Amino acid sequence: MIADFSIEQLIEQYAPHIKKTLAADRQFVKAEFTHDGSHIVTVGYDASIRLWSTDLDEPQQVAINESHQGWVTGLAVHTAEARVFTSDSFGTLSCFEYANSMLQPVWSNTDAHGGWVRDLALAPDGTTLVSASRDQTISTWDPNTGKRRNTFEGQGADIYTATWHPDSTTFATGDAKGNVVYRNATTGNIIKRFDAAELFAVQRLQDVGGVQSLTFSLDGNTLYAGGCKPNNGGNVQGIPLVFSFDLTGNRPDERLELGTSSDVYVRNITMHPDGFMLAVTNGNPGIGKLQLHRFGDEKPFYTNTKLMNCHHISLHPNKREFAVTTTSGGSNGNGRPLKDGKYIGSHSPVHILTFDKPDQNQAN
Amino acid sequence: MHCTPAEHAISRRKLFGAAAASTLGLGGLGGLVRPSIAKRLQSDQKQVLFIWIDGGMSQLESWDPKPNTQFGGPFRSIQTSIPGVRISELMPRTAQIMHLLAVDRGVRTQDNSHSAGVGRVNRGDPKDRGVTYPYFGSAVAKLLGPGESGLPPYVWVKPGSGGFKFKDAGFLGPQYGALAIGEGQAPDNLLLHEDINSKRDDMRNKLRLLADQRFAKTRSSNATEAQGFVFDTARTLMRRSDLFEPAHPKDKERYGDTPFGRDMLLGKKMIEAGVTFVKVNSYGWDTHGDNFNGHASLMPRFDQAFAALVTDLHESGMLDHVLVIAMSEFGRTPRINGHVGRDHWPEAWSIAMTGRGIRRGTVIGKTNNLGTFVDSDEHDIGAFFHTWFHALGIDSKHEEYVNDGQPLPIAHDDMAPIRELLE
Repeated sequence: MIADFSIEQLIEQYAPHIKKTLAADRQFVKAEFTHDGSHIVTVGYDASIRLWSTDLDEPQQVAINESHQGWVTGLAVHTAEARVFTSDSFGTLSCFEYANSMLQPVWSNTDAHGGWVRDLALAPDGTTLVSASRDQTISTWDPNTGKRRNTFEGQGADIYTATWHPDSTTFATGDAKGNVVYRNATTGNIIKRFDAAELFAVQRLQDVGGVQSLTFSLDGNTLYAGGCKPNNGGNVQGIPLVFSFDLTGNRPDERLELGTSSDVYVRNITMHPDGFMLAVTNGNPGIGKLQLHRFGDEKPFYTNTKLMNCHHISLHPNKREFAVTTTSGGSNGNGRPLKDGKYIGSHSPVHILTFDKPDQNQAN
Repeated sequence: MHCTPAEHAISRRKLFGAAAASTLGLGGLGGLVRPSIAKRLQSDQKQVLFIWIDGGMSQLESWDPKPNTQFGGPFRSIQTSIPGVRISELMPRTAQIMHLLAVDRGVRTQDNSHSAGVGRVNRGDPKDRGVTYPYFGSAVAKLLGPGESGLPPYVWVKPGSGGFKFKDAGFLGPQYGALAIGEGQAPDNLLLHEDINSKRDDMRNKLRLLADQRFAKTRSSNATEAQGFVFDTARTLMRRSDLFEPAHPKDKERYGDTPFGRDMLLGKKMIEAGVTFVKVNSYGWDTHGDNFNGHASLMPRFDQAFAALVTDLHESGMLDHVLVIAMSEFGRTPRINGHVGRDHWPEAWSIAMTGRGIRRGTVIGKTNNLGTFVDSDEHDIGAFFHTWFHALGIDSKHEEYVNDGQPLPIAHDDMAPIRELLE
């Protein structure tokens, strides 16, 4: 196991390289592999859901649905079926099937929440969907029918993120003020509150920071919360942080710093079954890191600084590939970014990286 | 003899007169017409409350939302009290008083940097004549004078440090600078030391005047005038410690328990007390990173205090006398950067106003469907200075400053008032 690997061995085994890149002219918040790894689903700032085939050297968009409004930031892919769940900033929650290179609506609820449905998570056993909203509530849903099961209050702030425990009976949510709440999924009873207040600060009139990412370890014994320790509002700066909260009572909680204040937020954390964590940061425009971090180590064993302003990671079902949602270079600047007389927006390259060596790719 | 220009000097007699009048007090609930406010209404004094949103409020998350467009952001728009006019969902209270406001969505200014933009916008971007023009507050202090309250004509309520900020005055000279109130706190040593009775205070003051006169013989008149002005101001405020009493809990609740809510309440008190020009600052709006989560907390706090202030001035009748302006140095880019922020955008943004001389319930100017550029007549800051001077009864086309004998227009020569914004 990698616990015995030297750093050199870890790098040899896991240093990834970009295999292909999905190019689009729009900005995405998330890109997730489908359950069979044959496609990628993207959601983002233009309210669209796009389905991309990854078979070709250049991934191709094969379907688009534009029924959402505002931003689509909630995205959960069924782990066994060709279904995807999405939510938008106008309060809508939807389900689509993506068979035959089509995105077919299954159900939709335009009043799922009183405001921005920031995040969605599907229980590992596929039986319950949880939504987290700016309206400070959490709801659970029947993923087959879209019928609401419960709404839970008590978080007390805009809820940014939600994640399921591997046992599918409990979940955790993280909010704008650095609160992490661990609940029973059926009753909503709070099992424990974790203090990630260091991820939040009030700067003048602005609430800054919050829990940007949450995930459980694969054995369910640890809950990881990512964000940053904010230094200031406005042009937000801060040390990227990950807290690991022990659920067993046998180990102390840990605090990991993953960069400098220009790296800012740890936007997403994903667990690899071989025993390490993948994390991406999103800081000043043009700055972003992909880091691989073996549990128990003080520092990441691998850092890639060439992926700009990363937002999300999705691990391929084969566990040898993963997709990182990034931002185009030169995305910032005051004044007019005109090209051929047209106003140019930013866009989001999605890089598909592999742990395989280039020659292995050729063989595959 | 120690002197200040006749039209601007605050005489000691006036100061003490105002101090006596102030014993009526100004604390308590907003919205009720107290005797002190009734006096203000009778006087028909023209005043300005200028809300400076430092760093750049996003027009797309406030006055000019473009939901469901490429650059529109995540927030919805909501209906306002003007049929057909929608603003961001982050401003629910302001939406209810939209019929009291005038908003221009067709603002286009010249600078996309703070360093150039703040000065140019605050000075009204007049033609370059080799002099440093005054900020709007100093200009109004000069052109309207201090009124009858005896209080300084230009008060700046702000986070951070207080003191006398003379730089706003430009060529007008330091006496037209701003008395800054930092963190809502009364200036240090506001109250007379308990060992000094009024007789002893008078004697000390006579001695000070003699020293001032001697000092003035060897210094420039600007410096000595400013020094005398600051001292007079301090003595006025020593008699108005009521202005710095804690806000009534219900007012605090209505304006929001935030630094901006506190400062807007203090700004309103200063207006009610008769200050000609009050600037209230809110800092921290330069949201190059995390713009949307930033505005999700910034805007509701602005919304609460702004709507409460306008409502109070409207209900008390003071809105007919007080020009209220809310603006930044520019808007924010439609383009969203990789840090989920918006950068500086002077090309198409919005300014809101109400009160004295302004046509209420008016929304003019239009941006294109993506919110990238103005799609109607563009208005630069010079046109707004003409508009605001006109609203205050100042003929901006003919009134001039005189600087060392040089006549200078008070607003951009080639621009004119925006008639659609005026009553």
